[in-house]
Amino acid sequence: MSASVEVVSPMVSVRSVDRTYGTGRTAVHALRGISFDVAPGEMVALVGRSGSGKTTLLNVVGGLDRADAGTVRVGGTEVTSLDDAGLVSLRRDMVAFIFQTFGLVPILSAAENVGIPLRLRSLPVADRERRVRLLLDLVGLGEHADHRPDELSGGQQQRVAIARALAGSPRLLIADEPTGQLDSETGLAVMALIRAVVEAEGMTAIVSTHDPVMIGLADRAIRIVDGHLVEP
Amino acid sequence: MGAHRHAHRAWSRRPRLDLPGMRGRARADVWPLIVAVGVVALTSLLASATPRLVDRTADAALRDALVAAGSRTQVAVTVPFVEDSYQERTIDPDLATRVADRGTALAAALPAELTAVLADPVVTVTTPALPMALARSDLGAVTMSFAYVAHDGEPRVRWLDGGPPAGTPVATAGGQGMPDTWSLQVALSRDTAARLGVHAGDRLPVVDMVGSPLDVTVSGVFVPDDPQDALWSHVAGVVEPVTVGAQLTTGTAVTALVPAAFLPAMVVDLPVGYATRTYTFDVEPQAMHARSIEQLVTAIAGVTVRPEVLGTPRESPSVTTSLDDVLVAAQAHLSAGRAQASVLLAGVVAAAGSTLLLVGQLLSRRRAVQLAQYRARGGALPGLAVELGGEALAVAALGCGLGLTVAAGIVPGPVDWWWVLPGVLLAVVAPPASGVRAAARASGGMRVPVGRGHRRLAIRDRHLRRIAVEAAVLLAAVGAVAALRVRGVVPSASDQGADLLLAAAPALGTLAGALVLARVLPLVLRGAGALAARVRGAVPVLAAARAQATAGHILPIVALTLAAGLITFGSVIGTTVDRGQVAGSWSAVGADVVATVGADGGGANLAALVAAQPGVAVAISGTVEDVQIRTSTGGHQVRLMVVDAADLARLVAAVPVPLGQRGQLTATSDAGPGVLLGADLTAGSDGNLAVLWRGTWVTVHPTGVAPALGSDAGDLVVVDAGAFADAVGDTVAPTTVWVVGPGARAALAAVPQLAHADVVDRSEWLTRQRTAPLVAGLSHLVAATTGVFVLLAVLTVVLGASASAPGRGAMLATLRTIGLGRGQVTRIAVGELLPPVLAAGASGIGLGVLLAGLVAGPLGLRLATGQPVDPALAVPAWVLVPVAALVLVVVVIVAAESSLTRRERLGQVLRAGAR
Repeated sequence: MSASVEVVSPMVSVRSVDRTYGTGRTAVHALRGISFDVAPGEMVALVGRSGSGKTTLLNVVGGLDRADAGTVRVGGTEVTSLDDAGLVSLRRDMVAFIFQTFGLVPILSAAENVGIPLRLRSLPVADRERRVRLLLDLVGLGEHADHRPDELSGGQQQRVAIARALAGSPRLLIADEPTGQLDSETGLAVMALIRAVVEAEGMTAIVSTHDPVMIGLADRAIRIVDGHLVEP
Repeated sequence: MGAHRHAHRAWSRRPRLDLPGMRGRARADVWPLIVAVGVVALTSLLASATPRLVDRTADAALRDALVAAGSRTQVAVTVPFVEDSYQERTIDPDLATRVADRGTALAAALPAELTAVLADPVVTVTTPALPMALARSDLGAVTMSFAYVAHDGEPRVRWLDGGPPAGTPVATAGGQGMPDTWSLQVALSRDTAARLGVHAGDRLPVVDMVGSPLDVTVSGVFVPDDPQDALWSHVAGVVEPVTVGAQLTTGTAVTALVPAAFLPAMVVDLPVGYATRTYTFDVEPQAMHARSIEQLVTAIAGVTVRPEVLGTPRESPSVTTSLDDVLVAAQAHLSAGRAQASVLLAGVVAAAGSTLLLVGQLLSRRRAVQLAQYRARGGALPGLAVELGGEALAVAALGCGLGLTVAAGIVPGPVDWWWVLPGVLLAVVAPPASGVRAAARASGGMRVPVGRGHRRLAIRDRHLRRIAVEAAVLLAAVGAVAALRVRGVVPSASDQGADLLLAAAPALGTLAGALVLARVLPLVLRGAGALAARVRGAVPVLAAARAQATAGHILPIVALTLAAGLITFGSVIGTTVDRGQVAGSWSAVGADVVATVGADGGGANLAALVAAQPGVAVAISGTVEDVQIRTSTGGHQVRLMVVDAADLARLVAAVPVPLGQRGQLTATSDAGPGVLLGADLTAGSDGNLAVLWRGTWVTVHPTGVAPALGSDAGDLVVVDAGAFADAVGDTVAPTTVWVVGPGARAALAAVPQLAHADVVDRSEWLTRQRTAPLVAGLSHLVAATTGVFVLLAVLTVVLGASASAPGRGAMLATLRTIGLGRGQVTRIAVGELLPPVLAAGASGIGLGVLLAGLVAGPLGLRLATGQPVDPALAVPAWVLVPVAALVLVVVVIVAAESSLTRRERLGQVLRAGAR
């Protein structure tokens, strides 16, 4: 009788990823041989100074940018080999983003912004409205459903962005300095919210940040320096 | 207060030019600047060249009008002989010379403006019509006048019988200044001699006004060397007798030619004052200029009202001419042409102006970040205004210079700055104003009230100001269109300001409609957005939201609607004129070809021969003659068309345009044959109507309105040939053949009997009408301005799309991160850009057609079509083509944007933050 060992596949697997912008003497090596894994349900903080390659790495992982070399797998799907249509499917069904600049559609209300991912899945109207209400309540903005982004504070906008990111029930949440434009108190609240929803929804998250408090909320941190991964 | 102090400091700093910064901005935004240069150049080109082209064509059009008016343009100065009734009359052997010298003196006495355009006068000395005692019932009462005619000598003739008058009566030696007896020798034309039945050497039974016989002998019978010599037209009845009279009295008038040698005898043969000198000045069209019309009319009025300035106090000369009427009519025609050109130019200026405003707006949007940085670095608004103003000035100067240079190459002449300046000024003012405003907003320089209530008041004030401006435009448009409909487009010399307002009526009307659309469209799109929110998919709601955001910007909507409206206006006016000219050709000629032969030409048979030729749809024959018609209110000269009723129906049916016939020809009744009367004729209250035919009055009765066949159709009287033959007791030999069909001209050529027929060809009429200088010039201007409007509409779409591109790009990039595919992104972009374009295009078409319908009549288009009435409005199907082209432009823009974003890395786009 042999003991069975459960092997858990990583949610994110990055292997030897290179990304260079430009050519020749003006070439900028944003990523050099990056390799790491993120387990399902894990929240990883990506730490590094400005220009270290954090955003490039997140873009490559999320399929917003393409690696020059190496492979990226998300949920078993090799992102680096996907065509445009595959990347669209990936972003629609598996990965969600939260940006420093919130990335809300300014001409839509908070509820309409949150409802976009659900519309992309052609959810019935009643179901969509129900889930939008639920998500807005979750982020504490149930009373602001009809407000447009410019009628909300920065923290409120970011919470709308979080609600929108959660709307499609993604397996991977990628947040690029989500508190970068917020004051520390609001930033902490937003980060705590992200931590809470990641746990509640059982999703994996990679969050880039400078803030030590934020780093403390993560399960672990990955440090990137000049495109290289270093031990924290 | 802080903001106020900041703004005050900003404006009080001394402006400093940042030349490298200016160059950098210009390089970064080179294509909008090139567009601005192009628009200013195009506007300046049209605005400077058009008035000069109109002036140039006006001269040619005036000359055409003078030639067409023929003898109506002659200026005739009549000067009675001055004789003392109490002194014995004498034979003056040098009278012809003295008469000629008086003409030279008269020419010198005329106002210089007239002398410059008149040829040397033709001299005629004439007597009143004197009765002849002839027992000829077929001629009616016969009268004879005597006439002496000279212009560079007497007219040249060939003698058929006898010869020129010989000898000259001279004074007797008794010193009384008079010969004892003499016989007045005169020459008669061949036709006159034949009609009177006299020969050389015969005495003519002419009596003076008191019934005393005159001694008049025929020296010879002649034929003119050149019957077409204009000299003969100065004295009626010399070459051939003239049938005169109206209603119940008709007679024959003849004129005998008196040579210079017998001129003194002719004068003294009649009582004092009966012989009259007339000096007829022909106009030299090539010496005429449209700009001199007013001075000429004034000069003519001067000599007509005070002719004594031309002679001695005893002479009492008189001046007779219709030249002033011809000039005034030509002036009206030219004024209408100028006014029509002004309407088009006003449209160009308005459309170009709105495009330049759009360029300014686009530049300020593209430079929003730079302008904000400029202010953040402490840059002062006056300095910015100077920098942006310098750039705009350079752009305007370059565009204006280009336009004026090209215009000078096409048609040299002085620049009409009145039309050029608006476009240039807008190009100079709009971009800096927009840029400074954007910079002021970016830096908080525009003061914003602190309190919410005050902010609401400020917003309400802005809305009220906008409503006031829009209401003012609306009122101005309604007023201008109403005034245009009441007054017509021809300007009055005393009210130039109001005339400019009239010229701008179509542009103002379109602008007012565009403002209404700009108000209504967001509401419609909001409704569409609400509907889209109820569907499952993402594309409708996102497209509707973007469309609402885009439609919230008034200027692109207004500019596009204005351009689309003016495209339609120009197209409708152009097509209306074009089709009106065709309709005019049918009514002026009456068929594709009309051939006139003599009464013995066998017209009826000819019609059958022509009808048998290929390519002939209808060929009919009939007779057209000028006759007298009598009604209860008097008599008129009319054209009588005698034609078979069934043939007329076939002809009218074959003509592809309505000819306005109402009622049918009917057979003979107790009231005589039925007739169709031209639009200008009425039967009189008692219905008593008769036509004078070969000396006999034939009673007829009206049964309807005659078709507009041939020129002067208003005076046409149509009668059925069979009924008329019954009434007059004889058949009327056809003299005219009307032919309709593509092979009409060839069919005439194939019938040898028509080889010498007088042929009027409709296509030639149409070509003549269309190539008339003013008409052709205006047609070209309509085409050119319509092309410019299309170009401006395309630019408007491109500029509007460019202005909204950053916002659209940022939103679509964000949406792509959520999972929107490229197809969905494209559909959203199309859904954003297309509704405003379609709404503006459709509204433009509606506005253009509406305004063309309202002002087509007042524009005096019948002057261009040659019709007696205003042409029917014609809306071509291809007014939809420009809208389709604009849709295509949108598709191209979306495709181009899609291609650009394909090369963009989403990550990079999002790092820049929301734009």
